[in-house]
Amino acid sequence: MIQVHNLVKRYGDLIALDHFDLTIHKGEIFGLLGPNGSGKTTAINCMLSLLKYSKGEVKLFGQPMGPNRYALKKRIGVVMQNVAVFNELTVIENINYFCGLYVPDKAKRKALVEEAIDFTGLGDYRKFLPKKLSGGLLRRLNIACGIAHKPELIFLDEPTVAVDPQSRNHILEGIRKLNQDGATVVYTSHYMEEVEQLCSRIMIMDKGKAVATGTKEELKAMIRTGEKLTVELHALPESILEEIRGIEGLVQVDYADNTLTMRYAAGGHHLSTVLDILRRHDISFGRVFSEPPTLNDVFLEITGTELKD
Amino acid sequence: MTVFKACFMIVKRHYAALALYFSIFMVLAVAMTALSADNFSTDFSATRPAFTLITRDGHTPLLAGLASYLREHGNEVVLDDRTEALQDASFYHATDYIAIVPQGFHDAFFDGEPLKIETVLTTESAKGYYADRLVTQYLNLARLYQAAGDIDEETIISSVLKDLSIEAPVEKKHFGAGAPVNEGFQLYAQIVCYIIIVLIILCISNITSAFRRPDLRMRNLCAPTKPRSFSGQQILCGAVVSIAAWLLLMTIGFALYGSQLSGTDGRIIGLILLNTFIVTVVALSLASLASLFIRSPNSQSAAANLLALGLCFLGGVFVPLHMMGESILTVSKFTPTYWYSTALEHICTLTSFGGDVLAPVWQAMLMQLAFALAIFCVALVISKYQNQSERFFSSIQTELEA
Ligand SMILES: Nc1ncnc2c1ncn2[C@@H]1O[C@H](COP(=O)(O)OP(=O)(O)OP(=O)(O)O)[C@@H](O)[C@H]1O
Ligand SMILES: [Mg+2]
Repeated sequence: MIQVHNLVKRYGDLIALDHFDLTIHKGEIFGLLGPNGSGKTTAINCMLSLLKYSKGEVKLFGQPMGPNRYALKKRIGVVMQNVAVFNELTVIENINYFCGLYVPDKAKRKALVEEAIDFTGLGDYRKFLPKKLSGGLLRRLNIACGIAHKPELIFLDEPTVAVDPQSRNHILEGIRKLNQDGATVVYTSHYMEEVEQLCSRIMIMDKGKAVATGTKEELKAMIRTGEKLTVELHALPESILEEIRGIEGLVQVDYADNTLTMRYAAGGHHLSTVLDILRRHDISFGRVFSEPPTLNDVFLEITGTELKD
Repeated sequence: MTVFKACFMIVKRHYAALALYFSIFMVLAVAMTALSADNFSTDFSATRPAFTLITRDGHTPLLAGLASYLREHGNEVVLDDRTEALQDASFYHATDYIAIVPQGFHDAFFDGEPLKIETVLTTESAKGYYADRLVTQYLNLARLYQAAGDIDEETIISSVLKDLSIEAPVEKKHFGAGAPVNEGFQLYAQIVCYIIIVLIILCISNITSAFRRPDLRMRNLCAPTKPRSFSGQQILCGAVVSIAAWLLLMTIGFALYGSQLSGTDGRIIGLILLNTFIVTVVALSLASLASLFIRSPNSQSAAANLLALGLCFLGGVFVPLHMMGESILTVSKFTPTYWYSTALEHICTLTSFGGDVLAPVWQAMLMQLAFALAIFCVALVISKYQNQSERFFSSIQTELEA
């Protein structure tokens, strides 16, 4: 569906995309995950031929993409990172306008517009001008304008920024439904949870490079660290901490602020061993949590910095 | 036609601002016409222009009558019919107005194909202009009597002089089919040029600034519509809106002054309409250029007013051309509005429709069209250049990030 090969995009001296490669298959929900400024938006804009790039090639639907490839553009839907709607037009007029650029037939368009309004739950706001909408509603309008014409390939650039959790779930649900109806989705975000929940395949980007690509299981398997264990303790003598550090298979042990945190190597399970030691020394402990590794851990390990902003 | 419709809706949503300008203008127009109607008569009766009548057509009763009529309202300065003498006199302000009656004038006049009287307006042109009006008035009336039927020349002249000696208000009633254009309507037609320019610039820049918002532009570029189709539909909408504005303003003009125009020659009205239509085209071209530089809604009305006021003052829309200084007039010639008011002035003083009488009218109209064409071309070149630089330097992206 999408093939990007060796894409280089420069802004002056800054290399926004550095020999970027990407392949997306039909039917996927593909997640581009990366911190601010990692080049997600730039990558999408280059794929859509909205920006000139210095080097590389982009193929959509197996055909080279260019500014004049109107036949390809017809099959694509785009939801920009910034809300891009006419301030002068109402909700329904905006959706109708953007849908009209793709679907000239009036009767057909009417049904599509209604469907998009339902989809984004904007039914009560049809006649509202954008400036009367809250930030979250505006985001939803932005999405409705991008997908009303039922494209085969949808680009969504951080569509859920500033959307409340409830509407966010509604939107994610909708994206899943679009995907079930046959659309391929490219989704960027820096919310890991969202990407983890939604996407069938994920690429982690940093500084214009793809640092890792795969399903979330594959990504997590790539790293050394496995589960993370946290135990709340009132006091922990140094000697016991040393003993715990001695357990084979623990990659990292820290004690601070009355909490003991440990990371296992991938695939290890050492909860009972740790708790045994604590019991043996009669140390009482409070709550115990165990978390599977997150994409943040993946990012942290690969790049050495936190993904969270 | 999706884009076309959207453009319309954008204009519609801005109707409040447009309506405001519109009503301000209407008040202005009505007030100005009311004020100037008084001014015209008092001003003119107070001044006595120094005039010179050179006749190369012998001494006919027609001209004798004219001379006596002029003497009644001004002071005659007798000069020799030598180019040098005339030049000197005008240079040293010895006279305000020189009228040179060409050979064969008398016969042509009574054959119904009058020759033009060559005129030179000197010094303070207001006085010269007044003298010129006296001549036009006299000849108009004479033509009317002559057209009325078999009346001999002497009778015509005496009737004309009798009519003219009666003061202004009565004079109007005597005119038949060829009555001069109502002063109020002429003034309305003149200042309508200002509101046409303001309204059209506002409408067009509303449309273009909506479409030029960087993120919207990006989104539109994603669609399977050619950029040319986008701009084409925007231009089309601009044209339709302009024509609608023109129609509306003309309708209002007729509603206000229609009753006073019943006596005026239809061809003159037609020419006035044509002239305002041409200035509408000029306004459209101005708008397409100005909108390239107008980015924020705040600068919009300031820019529109500045441009329109500047052009209208320079072009003699608000201050009559004959009252403007020599040096300003040279600059004025480089504004399309100058040619608009020139054309209008010519049209309103027309007494016949021969080729050479109409020539200056056509010329002024062509000048306006030439201006429109030139401005369109400049706008086209600049927009090409702007689009390109946006792609090269990705300023779209920078604005997106902001
Ligand atoms: N027009 C521009 N001129 C110069 N530099 C730019 C421009 N646009 C983007 N950049 C730079 O390119 C890099 C990638 O930007 P991009 O917008 O693609 O990041 P992103 O991953 O989408 O970030 P975010 O999560 O904030 O949306 C950043 O370092 C940014 O500063
Ligand atoms: Mg981005």
